[in-house]
Amino acid sequence: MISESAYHRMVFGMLFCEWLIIWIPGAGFSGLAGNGFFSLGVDPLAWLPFVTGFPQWLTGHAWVCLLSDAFIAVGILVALISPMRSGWGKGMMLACLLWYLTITAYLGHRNFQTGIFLVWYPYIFAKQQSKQMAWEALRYFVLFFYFSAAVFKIWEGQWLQPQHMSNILKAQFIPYYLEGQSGLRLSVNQFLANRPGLGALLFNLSVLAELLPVLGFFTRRYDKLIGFGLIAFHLANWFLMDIAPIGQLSLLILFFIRKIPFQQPVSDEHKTHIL
Amino acid sequence: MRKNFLSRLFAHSKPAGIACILFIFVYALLLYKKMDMALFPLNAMFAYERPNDKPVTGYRLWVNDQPADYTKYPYWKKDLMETSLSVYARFHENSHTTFLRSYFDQKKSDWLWAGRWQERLIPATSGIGLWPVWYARKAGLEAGPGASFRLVKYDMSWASGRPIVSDSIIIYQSDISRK
Repeated sequence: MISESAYHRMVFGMLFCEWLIIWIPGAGFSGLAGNGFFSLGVDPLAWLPFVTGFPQWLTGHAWVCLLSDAFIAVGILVALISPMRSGWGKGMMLACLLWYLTITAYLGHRNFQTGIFLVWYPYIFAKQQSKQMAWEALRYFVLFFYFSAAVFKIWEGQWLQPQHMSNILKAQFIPYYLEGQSGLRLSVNQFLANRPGLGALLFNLSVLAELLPVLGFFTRRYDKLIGFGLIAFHLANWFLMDIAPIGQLSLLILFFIRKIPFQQPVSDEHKTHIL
Repeated sequence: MRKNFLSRLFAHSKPAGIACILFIFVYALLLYKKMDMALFPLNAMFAYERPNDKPVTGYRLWVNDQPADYTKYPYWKKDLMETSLSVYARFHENSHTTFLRSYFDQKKSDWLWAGRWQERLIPATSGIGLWPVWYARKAGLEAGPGASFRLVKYDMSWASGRPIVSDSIIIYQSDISRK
């Protein structure tokens, strides 16, 4: 388990790495420049920026996109150096939320990597106690998010269907097959897709990993176990399902801190930054 | 004895406590209404039954008769291209209608206040026309004036332990001339 100062450094260090993995391969704002096609879902939250016309304007201006990407990168570095600036936290949460809503609209697909903006939540408050309560609320939400995913799978009865995981696996790597690719991941994909029993076992292991967070509602004693379980779940998802955890890892660090953060009085160094 | 989180939250700030209760209530209502894609999506991912008897579909864009391949790219870019391609393909398959447009039509357009703002929630025709050029560039292909595009849908069936193409159909074909 890590200390509070190490926690802030790890959160923003990881977030910076995640942002580079998003930005440099071409999935930041600048990767969307020149793309005029988007498809929104039914979630009104995702509509808000599009109602203003801002994402549409942004993707029509390549240099503004590039500057926005750079702003997010610099913003994370500033938070890494001085995490207690609440005004900065608000701005960065908004910028990351805007990127998340823009990319998911242009993807036409919702990813689960909401961590990219949720991770900022405790840092938007000025008072230490508010930060602490926000951190706890965020932790409960993350617990609920994963636990509810397990409940959905159990409620819908798919954990009892041996063919379910096999059917999912058959669809996950279609683009690779269309392009005539080969390799370890595709061999594993074929191996598991052809063995429904083994696939069902893996599916139920993932349900177990998602069920574990329920313990966190009652005690923080098992947070490390929950954290490792969820990271293992995401890494397995990456290898077997081609669904990467980029954008979620910095959020999951909250399961590895020894004490609830923001309980200590603010140091003199940080006092000047609190608005 | 340490009080539970909600009690401490109410003691700290009543508005925050009320907001928290409201959030729980709204979220529970959304889940009850099976709107599991709202607010914080995809916790229902892979929970619903997958049909076993239908072929799986995949799409591929051909630019000047060259395939715009993308699986070699790092994760996020691949995801961007894979999902953007399938959504663009479905747009053509659904008579040039986006998912939200269909949703509004189904709701008779007067659902909540969205009707007044619908046009901004649907991509402009000029923007839609730019998509193949953007996609080709992302895949590392040149798509200058006079480039031709062919979007093909493939049905994949699982046979002999691996997927094979069982059918294919061109769902969009165009030559563009850019000034």
